[in-house]
Amino acid sequence: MKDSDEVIDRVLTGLRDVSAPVGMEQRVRAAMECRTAERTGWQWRSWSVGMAAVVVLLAAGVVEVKRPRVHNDVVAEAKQTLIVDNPAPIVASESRNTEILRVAQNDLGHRAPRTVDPPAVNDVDMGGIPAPPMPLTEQERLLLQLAHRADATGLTPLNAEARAKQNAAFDAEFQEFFAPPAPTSANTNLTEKEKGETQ
Amino acid sequence: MAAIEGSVLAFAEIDRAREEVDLAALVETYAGLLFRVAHSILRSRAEAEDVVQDVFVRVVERKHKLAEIREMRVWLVRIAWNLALDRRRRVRPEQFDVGFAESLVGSDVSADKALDEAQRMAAVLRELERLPKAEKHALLLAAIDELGMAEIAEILGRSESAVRALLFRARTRLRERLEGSRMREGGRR
Repeated sequence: MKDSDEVIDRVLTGLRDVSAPVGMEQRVRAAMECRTAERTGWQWRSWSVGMAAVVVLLAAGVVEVKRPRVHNDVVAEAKQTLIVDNPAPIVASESRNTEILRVAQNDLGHRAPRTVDPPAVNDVDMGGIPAPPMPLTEQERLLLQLAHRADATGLTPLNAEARAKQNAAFDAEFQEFFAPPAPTSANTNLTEKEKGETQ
Repeated sequence: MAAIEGSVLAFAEIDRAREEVDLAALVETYAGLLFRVAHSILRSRAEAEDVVQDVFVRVVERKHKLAEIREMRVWLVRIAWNLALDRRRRVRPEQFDVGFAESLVGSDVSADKALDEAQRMAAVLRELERLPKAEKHALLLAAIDELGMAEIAEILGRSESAVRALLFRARTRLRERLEGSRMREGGRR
């Protein structure tokens, strides 16, 4: 029993009295300095990366601020056009007729300002994308076809004055064709002979 | 911009110098104790030194929290203790036990007696490892003889009375097992 206690005590004393290797503290300090340098370098790198990220974010913010402004200008202009063209709410069919009349009355080379549908404007407002070109109305497409395919005679009905002239010319030609021929002397003798034969 | 960067670097240099002084003092004060704590688990000087380095590297990583630590000694010992236990799972400590037992034998004895003593001490270390974990840890921490009962209790997360009971049971069990193994060996002979 006593012998076992003695051996146990010797082992525990050996664990207690063990001394650190020579130069351990210097090696530990060197490892700490190495780690500190690594951390400092990492902090500088992370600081640089952070600054770069801030710069990129600022640049993106400037771009983002500028882009909606241009987009809003376009939309505001479109809305202004809409207000000028349609001061009061117009029924759909009435709007179409008005547009046809305006296009017909204007010169063919001059295109009338286009109206913008309010729902389309709202759609444009919703996105940050520039507004796409508005689609042509049915009347505009028809006019475009007419302008591209018909000749000057075909386009005449669109001009009231030209149409009136054309109608007048047509009437004159009609009257001239169906009017009775003027009586001549030869024709008068012939009629007298015919009258005698019949008698 | 260059002036600002220069002043920032100067402040960082001053700050780093102050930290180095503090950390150097920490190393000087606690390196020996931490080495013994790690060595009691690993029984290898090289492995214990590695553990001490790991402890202070972690101190560097948490240097901004050092001011919040109330009991630096207990905190450091706990880190070293846990790192040593973790390292012991990865290395094969039996080989270190034999070498450590041989190092405990005096050089002024004969070769036969030295071999016998080394075997007895290796048996103590072997039986120590077979103790229940709580008893083994309490006995090893108490063996360092630099830690008070309250500190051991805090490191192990137990009350002081529980640590005393663990120490008593560990010592008794270790003695009984050594006697039993000696009896068995005597019977075989």
